[in-house]
Amino acid sequence: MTETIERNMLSITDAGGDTRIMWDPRNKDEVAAAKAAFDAAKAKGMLAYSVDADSGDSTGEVIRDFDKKAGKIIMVRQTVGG
Amino acid sequence: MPRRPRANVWELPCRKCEVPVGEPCRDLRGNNRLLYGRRTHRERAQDIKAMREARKNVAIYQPLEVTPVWDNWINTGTATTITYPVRQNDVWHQWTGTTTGTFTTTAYTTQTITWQNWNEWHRPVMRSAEEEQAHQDMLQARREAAAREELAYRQREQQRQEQRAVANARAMDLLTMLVAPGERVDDLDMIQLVGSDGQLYRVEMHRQTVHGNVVRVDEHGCILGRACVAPAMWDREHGALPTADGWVGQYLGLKFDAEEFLRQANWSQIRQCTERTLRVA
Repeated sequence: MTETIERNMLSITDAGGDTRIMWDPRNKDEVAAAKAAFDAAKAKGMLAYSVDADSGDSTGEVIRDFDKKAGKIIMVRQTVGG
Repeated sequence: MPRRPRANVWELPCRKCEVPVGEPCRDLRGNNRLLYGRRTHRERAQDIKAMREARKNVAIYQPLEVTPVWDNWINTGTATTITYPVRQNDVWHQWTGTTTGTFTTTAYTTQTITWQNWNEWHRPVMRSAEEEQAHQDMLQARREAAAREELAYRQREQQRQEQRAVANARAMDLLTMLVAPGERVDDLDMIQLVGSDGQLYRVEMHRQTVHGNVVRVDEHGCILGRACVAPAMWDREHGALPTADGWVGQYLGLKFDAEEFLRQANWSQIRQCTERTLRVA
């Protein structure tokens, strides 16, 4: 029987497009690495959105803490008025 | 009085923004513009000043091995009237012809000063063969250095453009991954979505910008206002974001946190609906 491994993704937008970090929620090391990247981006003032893009019509929410079960986390820079 | 020609402020490449000879300096604040007018970076201005000083010193103080012909003539020639008709115009010829020898001597003195000045200022023109060769070598070395710098600049610029293309592609990929199929209006190159505040918004992409591209519309498509708000697109430490990353931030902000996102916005083109009587099925 084939086991499907769930891979969640953290995408942090940057000058190179974005940096993507994948993790398996059951793998502690991967979770720790993703959390460290999340916290570092958060410390720079970036905003985090947890998104479920596979549900047909995107659903999601703003998150303030790392959620290892979140399927996709997108982090963008702070909002400014132009 | 004739106006002095303006100095070329782009005579050397800029070591700050790395543009080649003949091109204006680039503004390094991430907005991809050129510095206006004849403004350059301080480093470039210093380089050009140093080069001009060096050139001036070469022109004035270069030692002579070849003695100018006229120096010889002035030092060894005698002030006889025989030599004057050679260099005097008709007016002076008539004038000297009607005056005494005293005036002739004065004219000779003036000519001496003139020729000494001429020799002084034209010394660099008369170089020995070795000096001429050294001068040509120096010019060639300068041409090679300029060509080398220009090539390096072009290569870096090409690399930068390639990196930018990759970054844009990645950012577009992320946007495509997030936006629901029904929200993307490809014909009009925009995203239309219902914000978390229940309002209808469009994120216009046809102008390839994140400034003033968020539009609030009603159910008829009437524009109710235009917002200028986006993620901070650049900073000194990390550089500029691809434009599509800005659209990602706008999309997520409107979709999941519209009130907070639009709190930062500057609004323009605020209007009322023009189709109030029209009912949408």
